Amino acid sequence: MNILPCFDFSPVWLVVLKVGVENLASDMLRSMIPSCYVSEQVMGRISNSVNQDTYLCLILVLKEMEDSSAPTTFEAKIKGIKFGLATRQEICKASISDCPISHASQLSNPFLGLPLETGKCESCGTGEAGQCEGHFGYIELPTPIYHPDHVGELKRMLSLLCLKCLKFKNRKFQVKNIGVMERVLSSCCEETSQISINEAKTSDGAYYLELKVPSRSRLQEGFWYFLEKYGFRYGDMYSRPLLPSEVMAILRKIPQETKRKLSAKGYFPQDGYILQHLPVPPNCLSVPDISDGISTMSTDYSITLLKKVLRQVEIIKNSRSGKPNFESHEIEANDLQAAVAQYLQFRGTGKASRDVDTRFGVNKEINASSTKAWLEKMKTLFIRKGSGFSSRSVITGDPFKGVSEIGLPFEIAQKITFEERVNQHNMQFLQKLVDEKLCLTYRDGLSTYSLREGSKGHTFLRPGQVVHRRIMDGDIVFINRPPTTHKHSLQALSVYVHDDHTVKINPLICGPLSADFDGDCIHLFYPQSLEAKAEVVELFSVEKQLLSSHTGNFNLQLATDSLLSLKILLRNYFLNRAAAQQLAMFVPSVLPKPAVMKSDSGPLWTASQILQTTLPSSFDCSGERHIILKSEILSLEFNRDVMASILNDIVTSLFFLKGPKEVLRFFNSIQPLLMESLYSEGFSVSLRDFFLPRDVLESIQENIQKISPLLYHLRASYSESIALQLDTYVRSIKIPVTNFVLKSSAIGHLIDSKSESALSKVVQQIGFLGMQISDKGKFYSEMLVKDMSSLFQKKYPSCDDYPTEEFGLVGRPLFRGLDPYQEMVHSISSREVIVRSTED
Amino acid sequence: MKENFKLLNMHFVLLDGARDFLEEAGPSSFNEKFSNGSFRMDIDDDMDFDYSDSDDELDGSLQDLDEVFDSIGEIVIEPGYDPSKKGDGDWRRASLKFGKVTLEKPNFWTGEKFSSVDGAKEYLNLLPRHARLQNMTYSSRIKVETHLEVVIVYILLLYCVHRSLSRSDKFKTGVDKFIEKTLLHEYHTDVNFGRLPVMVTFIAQEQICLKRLWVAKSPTWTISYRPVSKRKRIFVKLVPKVEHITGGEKILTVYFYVTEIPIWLLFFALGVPNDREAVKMIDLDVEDSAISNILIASIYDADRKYEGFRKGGNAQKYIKELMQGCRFPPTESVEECITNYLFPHLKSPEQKACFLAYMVKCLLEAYRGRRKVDNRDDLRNKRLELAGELLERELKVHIKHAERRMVKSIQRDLYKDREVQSIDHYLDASIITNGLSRAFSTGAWSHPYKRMERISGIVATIRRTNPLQATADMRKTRQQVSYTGRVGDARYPHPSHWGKICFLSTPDGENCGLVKNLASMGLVSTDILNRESLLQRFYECGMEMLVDDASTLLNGKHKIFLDGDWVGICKDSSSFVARVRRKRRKTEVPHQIEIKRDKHHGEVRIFADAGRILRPLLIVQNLKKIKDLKGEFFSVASG
Repeated sequence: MNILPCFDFSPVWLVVLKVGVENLASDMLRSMIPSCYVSEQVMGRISNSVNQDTYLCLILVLKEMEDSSAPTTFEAKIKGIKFGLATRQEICKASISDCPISHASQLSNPFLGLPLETGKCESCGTGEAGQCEGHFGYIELPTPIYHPDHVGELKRMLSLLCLKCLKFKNRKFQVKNIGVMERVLSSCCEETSQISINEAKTSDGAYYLELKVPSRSRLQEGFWYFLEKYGFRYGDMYSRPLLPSEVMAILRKIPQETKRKLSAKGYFPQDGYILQHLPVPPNCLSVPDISDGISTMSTDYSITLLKKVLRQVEIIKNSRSGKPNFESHEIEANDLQAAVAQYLQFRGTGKASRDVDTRFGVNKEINASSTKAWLEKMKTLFIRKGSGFSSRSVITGDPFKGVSEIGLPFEIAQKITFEERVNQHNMQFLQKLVDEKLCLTYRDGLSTYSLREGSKGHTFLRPGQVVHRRIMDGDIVFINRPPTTHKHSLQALSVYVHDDHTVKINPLICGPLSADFDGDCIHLFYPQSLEAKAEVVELFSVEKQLLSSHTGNFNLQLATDSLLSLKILLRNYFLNRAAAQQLAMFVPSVLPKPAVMKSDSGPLWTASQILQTTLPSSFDCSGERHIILKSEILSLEFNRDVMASILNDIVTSLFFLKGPKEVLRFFNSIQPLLMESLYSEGFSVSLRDFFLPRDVLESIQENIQKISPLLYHLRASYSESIALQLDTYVRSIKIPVTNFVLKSSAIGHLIDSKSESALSKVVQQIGFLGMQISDKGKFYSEMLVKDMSSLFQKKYPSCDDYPTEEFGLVGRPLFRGLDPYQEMVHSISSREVIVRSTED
Repeated sequence: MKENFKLLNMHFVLLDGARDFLEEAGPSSFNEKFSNGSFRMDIDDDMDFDYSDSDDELDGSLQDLDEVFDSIGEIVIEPGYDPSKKGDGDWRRASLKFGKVTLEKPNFWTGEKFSSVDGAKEYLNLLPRHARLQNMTYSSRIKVETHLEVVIVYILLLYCVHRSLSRSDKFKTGVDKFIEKTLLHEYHTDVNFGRLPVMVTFIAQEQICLKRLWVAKSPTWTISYRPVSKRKRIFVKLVPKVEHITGGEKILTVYFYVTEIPIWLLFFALGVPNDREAVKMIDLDVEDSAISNILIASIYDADRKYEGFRKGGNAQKYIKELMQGCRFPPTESVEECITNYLFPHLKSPEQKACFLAYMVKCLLEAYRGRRKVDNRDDLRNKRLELAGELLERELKVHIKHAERRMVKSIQRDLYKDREVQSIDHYLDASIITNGLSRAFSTGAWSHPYKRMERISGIVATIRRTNPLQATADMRKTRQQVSYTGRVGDARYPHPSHWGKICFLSTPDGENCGLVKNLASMGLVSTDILNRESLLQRFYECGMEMLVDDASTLLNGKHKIFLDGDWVGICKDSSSFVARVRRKRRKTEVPHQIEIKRDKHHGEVRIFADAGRILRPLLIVQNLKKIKDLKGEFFSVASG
């Protein structure tokens, strides 16, 4: 292994190595530089796209070993790192003994390190499992073979060269039909200019290279004889296979200048392309045989494959008598390569990722569309990830805590830690924490000590140690609600610890997370390092994510409870002293003088006064429906329908005039206030709000029946205009219901009366279900619709002409109950809604 | 399979309540005989929640295992003909047969310390609750008897090779013919995951039913007869004609065994004497011009391509030519093909011709709109594959794999200088064990017909929040679709789901509507084993046997189909059906039989196969006699 110029800040170096030989590398480096300390933290994987190897990066720390007793240590400085394929000598050097492994029983030899069934490791003498690092061995191949994973690379490299004189081929004149003159001038050797190299495959799966000339050209006698200098004189046909030993000779003979030109193109001729030795991994890298006493339960397949390779070697050795000729070399090389290729395929680094799924054939569709790419990415980043620093729990709501706060139950907070490095400034603070037993562990150098169980005596902290302390109030964590994956589903919140058993969040945050409290779970992630914490605060915190990046609206909006409370507050409008003072406790500013000084029930404050106490000072905002000047509400439209939008306007102006922090403060004060007012005032919906007056119901039924001939015609032959007519008619039937809902029912407070969909949902509940299935424009086919009609005819054969239900128009509301057929029709329509929402 | 029964009868809580209700609502309030027979469901008396504490579950699986091993048949191991290893003497071959299968009870080994104590047993019985509470794998060994024979082959007459046991001379060759009974070890696992004590359940897979004549409209008008074995499948298609022939636009072809044959050719190969007879067999109204055009076109097409096929023997010759011309020509002769693969349960060629004509009739009727095309989403065309079948498939794959390795290793030892040892040496039981464990833990199961692919979603862990959830998890069914996206109507509830599958509970997400739950009263049928006695009962009820005379076969009689195969005819289908139903209520006929009388097409379809979903039917008779009902009499919409 050579060293290439790399990162230059000592004492940490980055070493890049091929996967699988990390033990080997650390051994070698340690032997070269005794005073270095190799930490085998895997930093990541680099995939070299040229020859598809994966490399591991090791951190190499040149450190002064404390109290090092070695007096004569050379001071070595690593000047560079280079990576390449292991050559024969390197494999030999890396292996533990100079003898090659030649027998299958030696494959689990004690020389290869622990774990063994019995005994100690013969190479380093230890008996404990953690101490032996594992030692490599090697198998000597009787004939060199192509490295199975790099045949393509080799072919590409060799096709750049002229094989006769080993100079760089002049690529400019590769056209076949050019005159003799140009060819002579351009190419170095005329005969070999037409040779092309191909990669061919035998039936066993072994790859080999062969040289080809186009069959049109005349083949002279002795055409291939120029290859004699590489070892063999052979070949008289249009194609001639190229032996690995010949390629070895070619590689050695390539002149310097050609090598330079090749490296400019990115090709490096090296010995490692031809395998002569096969390294055998140490025992610690293979799965031991497990047996249950009667039969072997599992064996390591790679050992089986190595045994196959050894068997092949044995066969070749046995079948040789004298010096083998070209053809026998070829056959031997191919057989051996098939066996080695199989072994490397299973064990080696031929593939970038060992996906268990692809190995066993589970087919996963790769979704290439860009809309889903983001989803996939988010999924891989968050959904399946859990680590020691993440947790998952059910959420409940707590409107009395801040919008950007999250309540962690005590039992979780006990177990999760943040790390802090002790230095002079925080030593006292951390020492206090340790004394109060609020820390779990601390780390001193390599070893971690526990501070909880069995700590004898008092622990004094020293600068440089790292303390793992429990989570405390004020720490920043971030949450995500799976399966939501858009940008605002990640929020950073600050922790407070409480004694209940669920995670508590403020209901306002549920908007961007699209969470509700019906059992949803969220994932919490605890950023450990300082950089992570900084990123989290800068990117995800609630203040930074106030404006939605998709739509430009606000992410936090008053909804459901708070909005209801606002509506009721404005409906009642006047509050007596007790109520006003109670509400005023939630706001930072002082309650102003009452608006009504004297009345029957004492001084009265107005709802606007209460509201304006939540606004920050010197705030101006005006719109169509409200005017606020110097934080005083001068005019406000009280219609409950427009409350939500007025509030949105106020928040927008707050954001742009005062900044995000003020918005948060506004929410933090208005929400508890509204909730308190709702608690004291109360709100209930009774059965009366669901009962449509009888005459309204009956008129609905009659009107629906009137439309049935139209439905029949529509079903028989579709026409746009009839469909439109039907639509408007149904809408007109809805009107008495919506009037009832908005005017005489408490439900009107709960819904947004401008929203069509909210109104139609209520109409479905108390008025009539409406058109449930149709044969056009839906995801289900007409066959289903026809089947439903025939079902209806089967079940209700004695119905009058053209019942509307046969065609899917159901006239009963959910509140009054549905019969089985109507239930089935309704379930089809709701299923279609679900399918539609998941397919988008 | 009994095992499936137990898995599905976990809803004892609900059923019990229902039973009580029905018993209460019985004779006392309705004053008439309450036909209990039709409401019988096999409610197990085993009321333990931990059903598997009984050992019966093992017995149930044996039957399927027997089938798996039987289906492997006899394995003949040829010697690898490598001349370098031959030595002197002749080639040896071996044959391996599997015998009885037994399952051991699960047990665990107590370890040296424990078993060496006086009075302690070395192996203790393991019960499911032990496994669940202590996170152990609950598995039992499968023992199979194997017979291994090694024989010498003698070459007689240079070219013919045959096996001759009697000639194996112990002296000369030193090779004995030895039969060995050895045991094969394996593990049948019920896997525990992670730290939570969970058990795994199979999710029933919904498959399309192969046991009926299937009429389809797209891509071409086809009627298919599809038994499980692929070779016996027959497709009759209406294809547009290619050459200029008089007659209609489309002609009929039959896809049989390996080739496509014009239908008239096949009729004559089956021995139909002339065209008129064939048309009479088809039994359609030839006044309809569309139908007659198609028939004329088909006749002309056959005439043009195959000269003189009407004369004896020529038709078969042409068919033979067609067969030889395809990629994998069959080894049998045309007669054997027809006997073995064309409707094998019908004995004589006339009956086969009749059935073929019937298929043509159905197809043409559907083409003219008189018969409904079969709906893929209708639940009566679906079958559920339960644990037994799924395990059987997986086991087959692994056993085949183990068999291949075993054959290779025995082959190596068949050479002269090596001895054939006991079967333990060759058969790697860990392949089967590990394969099964891997299938359970990764959830990737073998594909029903594609060999290298795996499907996921077959096994799932049971959630144990409460007994109701555990029960519900065991009653899930799933439909596999090979692409996400529009799958037609598969995601929507269908009227046929009523009472069999819950049309409300389904997950939302990408498998919305594809993962369904069995209704609380729904049961899955199991295979009826004793077909002979079933047919006997049908004869008692008035079914007539199939005879070779075409005219008696047709003549206005109704056809009776059992699992898609034509088994008989009857004059009066309504009385036949009534009689069979009466027998069913008296349980003289197994009560899971499904009978459907199709008056319109003159068919009676009876299904006795496994995987159908059944729902209870309440029969209330003589409702009108009840005087207590006030007001108008509303007809109760039954079931």
